[in-house]
Amino acid sequence: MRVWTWMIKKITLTVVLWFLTVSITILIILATPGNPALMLLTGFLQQGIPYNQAVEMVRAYIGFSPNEPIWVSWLRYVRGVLTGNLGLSITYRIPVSQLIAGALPWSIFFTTYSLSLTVALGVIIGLAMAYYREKALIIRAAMGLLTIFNSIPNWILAAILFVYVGARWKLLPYTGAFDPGMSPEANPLGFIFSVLHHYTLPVITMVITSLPSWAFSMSAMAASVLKEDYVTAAKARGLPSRRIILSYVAKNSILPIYTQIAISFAWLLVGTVWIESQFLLPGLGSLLSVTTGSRDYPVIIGVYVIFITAMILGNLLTDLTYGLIDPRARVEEE
Amino acid sequence: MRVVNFSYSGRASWAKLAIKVIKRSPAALMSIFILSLYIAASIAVVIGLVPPLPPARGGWQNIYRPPSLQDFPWYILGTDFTGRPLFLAIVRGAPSALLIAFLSALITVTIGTLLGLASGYIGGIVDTILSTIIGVALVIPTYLLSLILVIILPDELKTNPFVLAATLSITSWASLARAVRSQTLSLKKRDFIDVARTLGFSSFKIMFGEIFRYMAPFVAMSLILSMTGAIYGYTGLAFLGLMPMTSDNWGVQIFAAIRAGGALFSDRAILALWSPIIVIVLLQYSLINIARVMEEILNPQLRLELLGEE
Repeated sequence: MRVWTWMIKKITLTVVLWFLTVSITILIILATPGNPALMLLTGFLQQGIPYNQAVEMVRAYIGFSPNEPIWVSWLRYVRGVLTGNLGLSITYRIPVSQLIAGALPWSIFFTTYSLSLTVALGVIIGLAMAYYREKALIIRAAMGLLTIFNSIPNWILAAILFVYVGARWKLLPYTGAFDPGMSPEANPLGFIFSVLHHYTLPVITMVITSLPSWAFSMSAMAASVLKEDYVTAAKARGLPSRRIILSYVAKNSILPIYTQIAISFAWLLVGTVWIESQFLLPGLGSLLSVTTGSRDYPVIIGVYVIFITAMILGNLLTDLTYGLIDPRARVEEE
Repeated sequence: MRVVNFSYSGRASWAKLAIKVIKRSPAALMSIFILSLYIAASIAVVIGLVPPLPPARGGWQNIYRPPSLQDFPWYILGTDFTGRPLFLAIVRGAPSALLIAFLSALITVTIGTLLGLASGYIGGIVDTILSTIIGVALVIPTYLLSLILVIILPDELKTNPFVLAATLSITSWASLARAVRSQTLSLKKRDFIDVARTLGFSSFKIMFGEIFRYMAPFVAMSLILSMTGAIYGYTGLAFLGLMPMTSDNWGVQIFAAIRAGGALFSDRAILALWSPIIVIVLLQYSLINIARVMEEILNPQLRLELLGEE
């Protein structure tokens, strides 16, 4: 029973956090000089649309109008979000929610794919770095390389891979999510293969740039676990080192950094804005970067709200699963 | 080394320690050298030693010209997407990048430290309110919100370094605030705080005089790391094409080399693509290295090992 009350408490807190976060960011956006509703209105007026009609149009597109107090706009927008109405896209003339529904699955696929590879590789490399320390040359080389990776912004790596591996050397596909002419209905297996093939470069970009933080914190954690008495005892008992690393060190060093998954997820999700648009992939990130060009405010704010919602859900999911894996996490909070 | 100035005991031994750590890692020495180059370049621009950018010259023959010795050394990297000397544009890009990074880091660290200290030290209802604010800011991704604000902000505001720095640090202080809060909570229980309180020190004095002194090195390290974050955001937003297309912005140079320079088909813009990339990555690399050296100096166990070598 206690697990259930703990879960319900977590979920309630998350809903409150979501509401506060969305409200505050909407208020920040509304308070920024150059209120989006006002800019939309100016645009419509320049097209020669009469004032009253233009105000109505702004309200239909973005959900609030330019000449009302900020808090009224905020209430209107939050009510819209709660009823699933994110307004209309100015460029595409269809509901924002429809655009997002088409883009969201791609981004979720891309981020979870990159995240699982990052975590798996980060854990393995981190363990190796902690176990062999600076004795092996290859470990020192790997540490140096990871520090360099750490200082390359993901959009720079995306640009380099896009230009060279993709456009110039034609080694891997570099535009689009699948080969033109492929469809999931006609050839499901070929379609999946084509998608995986097209996501190779984007995923490499994401993994390389998010790997260092995982590998470094895993190695720090594992290094401290290696000093624990139970590891010394296991060594004294003559257990093979593979067994010690896998069932003693790995398990106990993954737990403390488990919640970092949510942070990485959020980081990767923000990264899609650069990576998806660089490789012309469908998804929330490219939707955002395309609409920034056309100043399509309803879509921009709508995508932003979905991003935040996804991140908060990611947080909740890691918290809940962590609490289930490690009961100490639940006790500590009480 | 500035690091030693943040010390709280025996300046001389800290200097010795810093020298030792740097000796152990040549990369750190190189990083400090690289960073001073950037700072020197910025100072040279600010005090007027560097000529202003010549007017843009369009036309295929002027854009992305190969290197030449004309007006040495400004044309050694050829010209950029506006026909201006690329090396000059990159040097002139340094002061604004460093200024925005530093201002943004300063805002991040100031807000983070103040909120963390107040929340942890005062406690009670203040802690509840501040913790909620920190919790909300933690889930708001800084670069996503600053991206949206940069779209909304009019051009004359977003080119203002103070506005841009504030935008780039809008929620980035949250993780520092949380760390400072938990450190304050644990420091509060130490004996010397009790002593200070019994002696009648004001809360203000205890917070900034006693508790902050212990955290100062950690805060200084956060300042450096926040600078890498701000540079990431500043150049990244320009790469998305959200900044005015001026030559003296490294992100804009990369954006132009790929979108307009034909980097996809030929090597004509190769210098304009790689020069700003190397400039950005080198800066990030040296900042990260310096932060790592500071961490080594601050890590008590490593410190003991190093001083014990004598």
